[in-house]
Amino acid sequence: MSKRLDFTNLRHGTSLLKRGFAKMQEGGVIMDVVTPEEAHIAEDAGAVSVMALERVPADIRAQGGVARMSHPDMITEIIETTSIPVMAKARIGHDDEARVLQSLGVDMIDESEVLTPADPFYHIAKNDFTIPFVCGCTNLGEAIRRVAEGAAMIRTKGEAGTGNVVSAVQHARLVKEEIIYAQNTGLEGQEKMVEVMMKGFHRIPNASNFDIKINHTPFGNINDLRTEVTTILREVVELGRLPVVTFSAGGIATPADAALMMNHGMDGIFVGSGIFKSSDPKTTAEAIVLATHRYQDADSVAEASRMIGEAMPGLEIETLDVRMEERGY
Amino acid sequence: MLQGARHAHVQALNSAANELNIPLQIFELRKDNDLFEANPDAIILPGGESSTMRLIGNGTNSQLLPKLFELIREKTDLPVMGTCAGAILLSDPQDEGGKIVDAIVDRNAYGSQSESFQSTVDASLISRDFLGIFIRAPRFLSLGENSTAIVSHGEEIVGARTNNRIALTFHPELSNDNGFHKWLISKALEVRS
Repeated sequence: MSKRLDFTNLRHGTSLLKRGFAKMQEGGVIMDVVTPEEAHIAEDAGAVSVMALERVPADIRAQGGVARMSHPDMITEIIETTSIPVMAKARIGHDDEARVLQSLGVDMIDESEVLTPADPFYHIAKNDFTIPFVCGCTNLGEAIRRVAEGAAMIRTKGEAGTGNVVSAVQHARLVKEEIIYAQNTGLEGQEKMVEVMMKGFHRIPNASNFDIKINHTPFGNINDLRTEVTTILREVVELGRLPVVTFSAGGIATPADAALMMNHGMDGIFVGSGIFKSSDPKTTAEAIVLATHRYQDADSVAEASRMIGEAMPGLEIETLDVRMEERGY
Repeated sequence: MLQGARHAHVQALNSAANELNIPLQIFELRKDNDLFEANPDAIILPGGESSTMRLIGNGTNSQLLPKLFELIREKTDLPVMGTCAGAILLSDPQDEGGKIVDAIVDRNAYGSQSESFQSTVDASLISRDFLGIFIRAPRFLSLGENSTAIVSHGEEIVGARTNNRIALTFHPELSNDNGFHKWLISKALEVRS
């Protein structure tokens, strides 16, 4: 016989639910879409989620100006037309854009360096939200700070909108090597690592003319935050990987790029401009899903590579005016 | 195992096997050949996106899903656990062969991620309360005559069983209790002996 429902026990927005949501994305491809039609193409090609935004990174890069959260109407339209989860981007440190996105009913927020940062000191206080966040990182310290702030998922940043995978590889390798370093450096070495990582929370004193000491942050008391960073680093050492699902992003343009990042140990792939800036988006989307799923099998990746027409045009990282990967703290 | 939360299932299976003191080999299945090579004693269909799983599992270079369904229908006592998206695939295989777990299921029936919840459920299959973690979860609209309710949340059925196949709308692999994984392993031993 069924028992009466114990509502005191029913909880939303817990860390288990947030990190659990990210786990459901494992092995998948998350695609940037700017219209409901593109969202359909993505879903039909096997995307695990879509990222709803007004302009793909390649266009943001080309057009310049301040890039902000997308218009609520376009996000709502995409939510209403797809059955898979919908993510949307908020600017770094823009808690109110994030609150708007939560109220619109998106499934996950990407606190993204692809948009123009809103706060020069701090990221969003992500534990204040019911829905989960994904954040970018270029190295282990950045990843651990974001997890300490409440991120339920990490993506290596790469360099968005370039079709150039070199930064994605750089960030994946750096995180991996720094994890190995942490595992071999002993407890004392780890404490030193924590001190270095904590510097990312001390940007206000650098900007001020006064001798300001940071005791409080949007993420709580600085000592508690240090304890949290230490705990996460210990967890990383034990697991040999980040404690949350880790995707690759920024510059992935071909099926072989996707397979490369999966073979670097990533849990899945974000593709921004790579799909809808290619000559045949539908087929490119299907090919990248295939290569992500069967990354260990060169025959399948070859088949996926054969499927696509012309990949998006690529950019040299050295010639860029804006390095999005440098945004964030 | 296709796209989805396979690492958590692997962890839960390993801890269950460890506590039962049983050697266990886990295979990740991506294409039909993986299934033939593994020749499994039990199968888990993890959570993830069912639309993605159907596309990649039915693709010409995988053919995992049709072969998997064929095997499960052939070996009627094979222990199978489908969680969330896996439960959708078992209740609605979308092929000619009929339901594998006899239930009608509605996909993503509670709403967006902000409606995802955790709550204590009554797991009669393993005779105890269990932490049910529901993430953009599906919902059983009704159970057919070939299935029984094995987990309930208040008045609502959140776990169904047909033969040795169980479909759960929540994620047992995300809680600290490996009871369902132990059940699966124990069933596999029972069937094999």
